[in-house]
Amino acid sequence: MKFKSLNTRITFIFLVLILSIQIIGSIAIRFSIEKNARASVSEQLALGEKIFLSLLNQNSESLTQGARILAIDYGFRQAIASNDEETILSALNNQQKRLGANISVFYTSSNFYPTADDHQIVEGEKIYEVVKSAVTVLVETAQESGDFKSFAIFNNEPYQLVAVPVKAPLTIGWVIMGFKIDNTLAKKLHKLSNLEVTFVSKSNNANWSLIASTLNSSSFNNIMTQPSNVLDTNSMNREIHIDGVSFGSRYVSILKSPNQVLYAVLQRSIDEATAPYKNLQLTLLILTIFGAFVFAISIYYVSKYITKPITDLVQVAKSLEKGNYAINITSDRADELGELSRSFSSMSEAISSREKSISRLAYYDELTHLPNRTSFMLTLNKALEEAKLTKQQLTIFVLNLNRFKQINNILGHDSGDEILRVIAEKIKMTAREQDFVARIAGIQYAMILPDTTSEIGLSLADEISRSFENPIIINMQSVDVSASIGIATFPTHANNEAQLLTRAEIAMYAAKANKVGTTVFDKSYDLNSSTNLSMASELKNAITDNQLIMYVQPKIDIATSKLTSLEALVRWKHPEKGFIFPDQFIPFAEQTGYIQLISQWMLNEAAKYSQMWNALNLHYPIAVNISTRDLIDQDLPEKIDAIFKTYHIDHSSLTLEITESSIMDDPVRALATLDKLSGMNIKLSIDDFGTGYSSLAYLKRLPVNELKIDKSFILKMEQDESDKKIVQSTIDLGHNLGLKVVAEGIENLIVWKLLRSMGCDSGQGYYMSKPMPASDFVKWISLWDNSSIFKETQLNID
Amino acid sequence: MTSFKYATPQILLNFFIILGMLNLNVNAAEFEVQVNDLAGVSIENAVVYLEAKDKTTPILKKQVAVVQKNKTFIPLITVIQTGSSIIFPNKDSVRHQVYSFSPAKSFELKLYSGVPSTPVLFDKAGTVVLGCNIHDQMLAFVYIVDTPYFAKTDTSGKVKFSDIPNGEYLLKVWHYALKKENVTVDKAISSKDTEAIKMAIDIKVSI
Repeated sequence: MKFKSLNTRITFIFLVLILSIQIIGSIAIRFSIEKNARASVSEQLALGEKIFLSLLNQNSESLTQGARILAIDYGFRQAIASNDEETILSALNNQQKRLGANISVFYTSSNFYPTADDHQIVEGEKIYEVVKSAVTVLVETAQESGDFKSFAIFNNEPYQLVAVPVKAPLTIGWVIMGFKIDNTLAKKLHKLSNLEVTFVSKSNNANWSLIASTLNSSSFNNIMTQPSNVLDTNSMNREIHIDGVSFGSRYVSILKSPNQVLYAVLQRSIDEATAPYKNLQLTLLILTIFGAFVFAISIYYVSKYITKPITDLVQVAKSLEKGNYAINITSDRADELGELSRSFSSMSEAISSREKSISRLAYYDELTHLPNRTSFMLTLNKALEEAKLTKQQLTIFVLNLNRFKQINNILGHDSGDEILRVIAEKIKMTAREQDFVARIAGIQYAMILPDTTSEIGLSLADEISRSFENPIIINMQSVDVSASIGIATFPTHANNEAQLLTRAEIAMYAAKANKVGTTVFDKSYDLNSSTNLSMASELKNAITDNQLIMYVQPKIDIATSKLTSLEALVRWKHPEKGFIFPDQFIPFAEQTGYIQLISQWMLNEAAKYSQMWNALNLHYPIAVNISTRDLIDQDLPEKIDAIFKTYHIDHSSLTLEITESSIMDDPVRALATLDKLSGMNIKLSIDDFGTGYSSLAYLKRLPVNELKIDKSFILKMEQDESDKKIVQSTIDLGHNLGLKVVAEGIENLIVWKLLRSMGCDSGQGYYMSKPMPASDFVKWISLWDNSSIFKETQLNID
Repeated sequence: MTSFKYATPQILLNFFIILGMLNLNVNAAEFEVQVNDLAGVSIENAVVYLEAKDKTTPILKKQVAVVQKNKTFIPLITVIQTGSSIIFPNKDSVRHQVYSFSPAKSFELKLYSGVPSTPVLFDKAGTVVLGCNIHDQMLAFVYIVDTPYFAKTDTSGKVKFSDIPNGEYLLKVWHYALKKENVTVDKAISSKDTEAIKMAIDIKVSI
C-alpha cells in the first residue's frame, strides 16, 4: 500500500495493530463465551434430565402410594372378594380422582376393570385391548422382576403407569394407576428446570407425533425433522435451530419398545444462555470502537507532531529545489528532528553561498574579475538579438597578447598574472560605457561593441593598441606588451555569436601572422571558406589515396663527401593539378591539424624505406620533419615506437627535425616530448636554425644532436660577409655545445669549400643532389661514389 | 430367560406317586406317604388326605385354635374336617383383625385382643386364606376337607396314616404353594397296598 504521507502511514500501521489485537481478543472472548455457554447449556440439560427423571420417579411414587392405599383398603378387597364389579370400578375411579391420575385399572388373571378420563380406553374395543395387553405385560413384569413401573401409549397418548398388588393377604389382583404425560408435566418440568420440554412419541411405525411441548407447536417439526437416528441413542445432546434460535437439546428416552417410542426432548436456548455475555460483548465492542477512535485521533496527532518538521522540511526542500534559499527553517525542538531541521537550515545556507560562488566562478574570471567566456557568449547572444531587432551593426574584438609565454617564462607566473590584470584594466579604461569586456581564454580578451561599425571598431582597436605602447612596470621592471586584435562585425561577417567569435579570432590570427596590430576579418582568412574546404577534403584524400610521395635529399659529410643521412620531404602529386609544393599545403595542414596525419604518413613511409634499404645493406638514417602539433601530442613517442616495432628497425634508423618556432609555441610540453624521444635514443635536429626567436638558454636545454643552419644564411654567404660571420659563429656555437652542424642550401662548389673551411660537419643542397623520390635513392647511391661532384669534392679535399 | 424356559419342563417333568403300604391288618390299614417336590426335596406342611370311594366316613367335628403370636399365625397350615370350627386366640399385646375373603369361608373378626368369645365355624370344604387387616405380613391357611383321614407332612415330608378302614381310597395332596393353585395331586390307593407312597408336587418358590 502506498502512502502519500508518513503521518497516514504511522496512523494506519498503529490502527491496524490495535484493531487486530482487539479483533483477536474479541474473537477469543466470543469463542470462549460460546464454549462456556454451550458447556453450561449441556450441564443444565444433564441436570434437567435428572430433574425430569426424579419428577417421573416422584410421580410414580405418588401413584404407587395412591394405588397402595386402594389395594389395602378392606372394603375394596371385600368388593373384590365378592366380585362386586360396580364397587370395584367406583373405588378405582374414586381413588384415581383423588390422585389426579388419568387411568386406573383393577386386574386379576381373570378379570380386567379399567376406568379412565379418556373414555375411549374403556369403550373403544381396539384401545381397550391395547390397554389390557399393556397392563398384562406390566403385571407379569412386576411379578417376575419386581418392576412395577412402566410407560405405555394408549390412543396416541403416553401414560406413566404403576402396578400395585392387592393382597388378601395373598395377591388377589393388581391395581394399576397412571398419569398421562402431557402439558401439565411439561410445564411442571419447565418450571423446575427452566428448560423447554417437548414430548414426542411414535407408535406402530406411524409418524412422530407431538404429545406436549412448552414450545409452540411449529417448533415440533423442527425438533423431529432432525435426523431420526438421533433418537437411536439415549440422552444425546444435539444442537437444533428453531426459527433462527439455537437450542441445546437432549433427547431423553422414556419408552422404547418395539412398537412404541417415547422421548422427552429437553431444550435450552443457547442464545439465551449467551445473552448475559452478549451484553458484555456489546459493552466491549463499544469500548473497542471508542478506544480505537480515541487511539486513532491521538496517534494521528502524535504522528503529526513527529512528522510536522519532516513535512516542513519537505516544503523547504521543494523551494530549495526551485532555487529559493530565502526560507528560514527554525525549530526549537531538542530531539533528532530539531537537529535535522537545524542541519537542513545550515545546509541550505551553505548551498546558497556555494551556489553564489559557483555562479561567480561560472561567469567571472577570478584573476581579472572580468566576465569569462561563458558570460561573454551569453552577453553576445543577447546583444546580437537586440542588434537583430534594432537592425544595428555589432562589432566584436578578440585581443590576443603576443609573446606572452616568454614573458611568463622570464618574469614568472605571478608577474604574468599581474600583467593580465593590468591589461584588463587598460582595455576597460579604453572601452566605452556600452562596451562589454571579457577574458575568454588565458591570453585572450574579447569585447562586444554594440551599435558599432567595423570602421569605428578599428579606430577603437587602434586606441587600445596605443594604450599598450607605454611599457608596463612590474616589480621595478619595464615590460613591453603587444597584442593582436581581430575584428568581426555583425551582420557583415557572421550572423551568430559562435561564428562571429570565430571570425574575430581568425582575423586576430591573421593579424598575428602578418605582424600587424589589428585586422578586420576578411573572407580570405577563413579556413572554412569554400577554397579551403576543398583543400581540406583533397588533402584528406591525398593521404588516404597515396597521392603523397616521399622524397629524400642526401646529407653529405663535407669532409669526406660521403653520404651520412637523408632528409625526408613530402611531395603531393595531385591527380589533376600535378605536383603541389609543400609551401602550398603544409601551412594549411598545420592550421587544420592534418599535419599530424602527414607526419604519421611520413614516419611510416620513412620506416618502410629504411627497412627496405637495410635489407640492401644501406644504413642511412632518415630525418622526418615534425610539426608543433606533433610535439604537443603526448602520445608521439609511443606512436613512433610502434612504427619501429612494426618495421623491425633500429631507433637510430629515424631522426626527427624540429623547427625552432614549433618548440617555442608551447615550450613546456614540447620539451617533455623531446625528452621522451631523446630517451628513446632518437636523434633530434633543429631545423631552420637562426630564423626563430629561440634564445640560447633554450638551445642549451634542448636534448638535440644537430643544428641545421637555415638556407637563407648559406645562399648568400659567398657575397655577404655578415652572413658568412653568422654561419661561422653558428658552426662554432654548435660545436661548442657538442652538436653536429648541417648547412642547408649548398648550391655551388665555392660555398661547399667555404663551409668545409669553416668546419661544418655536413651539407645539403642542389649542388650535391636535389630531393629525389625515395624509390630513386638506391640508384642514386650507386652512382654517387662515381659522380663528378663526389670526385671533385674528393679532389678538393686533397 | 430362554434357558429357564427350557429348563422348567425338565424340572417339572415326571411327577409320580409311589404308594407304599405298611402293616396292613385285616380291619385296619396303615399308610406312609412321602411328599417331595419335583427335585426330590421333601416338602413340609403339605396336606395329605384320603377320600373313601365307596363308603361314608365318620364326621369328626372338632375345635382347633389358630394362635396369633409375634404377629404370626400359628400354625401356618390348619387342616380340619368340614363342620369343625377354629378359635383365634390373640397372644400378642397388639390387637389383630383376622379376616378371610376366601369363598370357602369369608369372615372378619373385628379388632380384638385375647381369646374371642366365639369360634369360627368352617362348614364348607376348600381353602381359606387368613390375614390380619392390621398386619399385612400375617398369613395362614385353613384347609377344610370332607374326610376324617388327613394329616400334614412333617419336616421330612412324611405323613403316616393308621387305623384306616380297609378299602379303596383317593389320596390327595394339597400345598399352599402349589403351582396349580388348589388343584390337589391325587392318587388312587387301596388298603392292600403295603408299599410306602411317594408323592411329588410342583410348588412355587414363594407365594
